[in-house]
Amino acid sequence: MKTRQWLISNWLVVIIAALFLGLAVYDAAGAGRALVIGAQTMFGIAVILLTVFIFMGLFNVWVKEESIARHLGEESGLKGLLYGTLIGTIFHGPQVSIFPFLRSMQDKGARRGVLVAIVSAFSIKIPMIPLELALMGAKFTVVHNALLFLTAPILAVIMDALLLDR
Amino acid sequence: MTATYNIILLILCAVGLAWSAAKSPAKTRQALRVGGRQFLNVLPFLLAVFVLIGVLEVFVPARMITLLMGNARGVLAPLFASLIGGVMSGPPAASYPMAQFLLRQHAGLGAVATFLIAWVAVGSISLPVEIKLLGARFAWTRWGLTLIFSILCGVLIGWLL
Repeated sequence: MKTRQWLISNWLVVIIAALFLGLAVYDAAGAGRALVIGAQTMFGIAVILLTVFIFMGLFNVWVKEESIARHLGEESGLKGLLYGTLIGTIFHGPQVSIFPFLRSMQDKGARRGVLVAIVSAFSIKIPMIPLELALMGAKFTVVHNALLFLTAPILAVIMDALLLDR
Repeated sequence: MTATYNIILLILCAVGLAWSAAKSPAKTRQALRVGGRQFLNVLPFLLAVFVLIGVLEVFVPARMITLLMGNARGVLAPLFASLIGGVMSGPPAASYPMAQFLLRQHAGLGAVATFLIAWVAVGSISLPVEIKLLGARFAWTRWGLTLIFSILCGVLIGWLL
């Protein structure tokens, strides 16, 4: 059961492994070269990856989204959206883990727009910024993250309007 | 350049850990455990992405990526990127090496930005969970909206930079 779950949530890993094995049979030398290139790419960012996961751990232990979430029930309007965006920004953990969190926020009385603000801003990963800086450059990192932060409340307003008649 | 950057990161990391340890050794140990566990969770995915990068580099001609996601494709490039990114979606740590690879193969910057955003934001794979917890209407509306927005943002980034 546990293996099956793992295989389902890591389906891409399974597909890539199968693809690679197929290619290895078809062209062993090419597959070997592919492995070398992959390994080089990995070692090129090994140090950054190491620090990213330490930052993630520190973030996880010291930043508590609940402390901000407390303001969500009573706040509405623009302020509520801003809080939602902030929560999304600091929320950590895998994608699937955010939906139970949203559900509990909804049960506590948060608006749907606020929920959308949280998921949208969830795309901003503070611990990942060192990695993005190294691979994509400073300009890209700044514009990309600023844009994500700004669009979260906008998306939330649109979403609120779309789901209004309920 | 990379070496200096790595050293700066390591120093920052050490400062963070030292600060944390001074405040609470127990919490610091927990932080390291959490980080380690997350790393182990993500590791298979990371390895797979690195293998995929190698495979694409060796077996797929760079021309094909340019053809799919190059600037010459116009708006279609981000559209492809959002669909691919939206379906692939995995841990964000794995998306950046992939994005860098696409850039090197002359994919358009807007398309690559779309790919990065769609990878973390669209979440096609987690749709069933989302529907179960928040309702089909909410989930599908959010999915469609984020897909469109990932494209708009990508195009905007490509245009800004």
